[in-house]
Amino acid sequence: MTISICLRKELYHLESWTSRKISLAYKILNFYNAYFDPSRIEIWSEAPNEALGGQRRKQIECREKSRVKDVLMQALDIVRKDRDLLESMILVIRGVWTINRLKAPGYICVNNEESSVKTYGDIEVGAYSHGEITDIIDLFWMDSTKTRYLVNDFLSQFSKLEDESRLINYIVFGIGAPLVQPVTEWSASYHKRPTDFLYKVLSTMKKEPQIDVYSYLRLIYTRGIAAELYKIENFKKTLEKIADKNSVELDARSSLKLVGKNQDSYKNMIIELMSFLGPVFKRSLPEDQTITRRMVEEINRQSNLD
Amino acid sequence: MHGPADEIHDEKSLRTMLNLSDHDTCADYYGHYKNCTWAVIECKSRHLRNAITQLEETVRKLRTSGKPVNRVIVIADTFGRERGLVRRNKILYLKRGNNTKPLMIDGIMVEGWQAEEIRRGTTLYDH
Repeated sequence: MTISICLRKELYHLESWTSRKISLAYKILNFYNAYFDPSRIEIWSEAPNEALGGQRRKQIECREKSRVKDVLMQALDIVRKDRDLLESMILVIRGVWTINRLKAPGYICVNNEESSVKTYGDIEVGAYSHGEITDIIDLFWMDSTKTRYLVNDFLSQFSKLEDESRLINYIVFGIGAPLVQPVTEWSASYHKRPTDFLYKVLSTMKKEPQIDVYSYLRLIYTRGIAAELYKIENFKKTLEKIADKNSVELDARSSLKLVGKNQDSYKNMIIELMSFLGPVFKRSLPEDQTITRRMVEEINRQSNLD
Repeated sequence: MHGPADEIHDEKSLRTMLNLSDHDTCADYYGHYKNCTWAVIECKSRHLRNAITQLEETVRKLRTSGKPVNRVIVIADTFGRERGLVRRNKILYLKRGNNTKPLMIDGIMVEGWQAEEIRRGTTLYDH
């Protein structure tokens, strides 16, 4: 699992934009201070390994937490001098997670390279598989007290901080690379604009043949439907009911925060939400055969007129 | 699932063999097959970029320690969700614009196997 953090795109100077991202990564590192021990900071261009076309430009050992800030500033100085590197930069803070005495190597990654941003987010927090731990989800959802701090409190803190609340668009906890995975693979999320969450749900429905409406949903303006749906006052109540039934904590005061109590809670909530919306779409949208029949009728009518 | 192998090292044994700490990443398996090839395998991969990092670092450490590596394999449920990575004939390719080239780790093409293909009984040895 990975935590993907996507920031609001603003017309910032790339250098100051990168500086803000690195500063946010440092705040994340501080938040997880008790669970994540950094070991080194790497600066890559294009990708964080050579097989994917990456090139390691710099590696700085950094096992003392008190030095991390200075090393990050040093890294920013290196990057800002080279425009190409600034555009293709992937800065990785490598280290090890320790939760409930289980250890797994992990990282906090700041992405500037465009396709990495789209796939993994502006900032990515993750773990490499180690023994029984296949990803960070195994560690973060190990016991409910830990989940409350590692997930709920993280979302609360980073959605409320004055600076970050303007900066962060959404935060997703999910399996693999959550931004390109179906929403059923997520475990928790924060969306500054709740309609972004609904858009993602509808987009997932477009790709799920078992939902039975996926071919019709391809024809509609999903973002518009998502916006209209969230305007309905009773829809929020329905969402609250579905979340509550599936042990998902929901906070929809201004933004939308959803945290599954167990690893599968979020997935079950999404499945129920899709099962609720699916039949509504099915009843509202014309079937393929109806469209074809109407086209045949219209073409024949035009031919007869000629 | 790995076909006829006569020597398999799991992650724990591989970590001991290479003297790796908890800070180091490591692949899931290193095995010798009866066709005289040594393979490094990463299983259950849901994050391909991470899986490739783990394989690359393990291959490098194995070779530095004088151990042979002939095949590099990723096993995942799906490929192609992550941008720039495509799979053709069980080989992973890196796609940048119109340019597509095989994904290589230390000169070895990286194979991509779907978990379902292995469940169906095709062995890595058959390939």
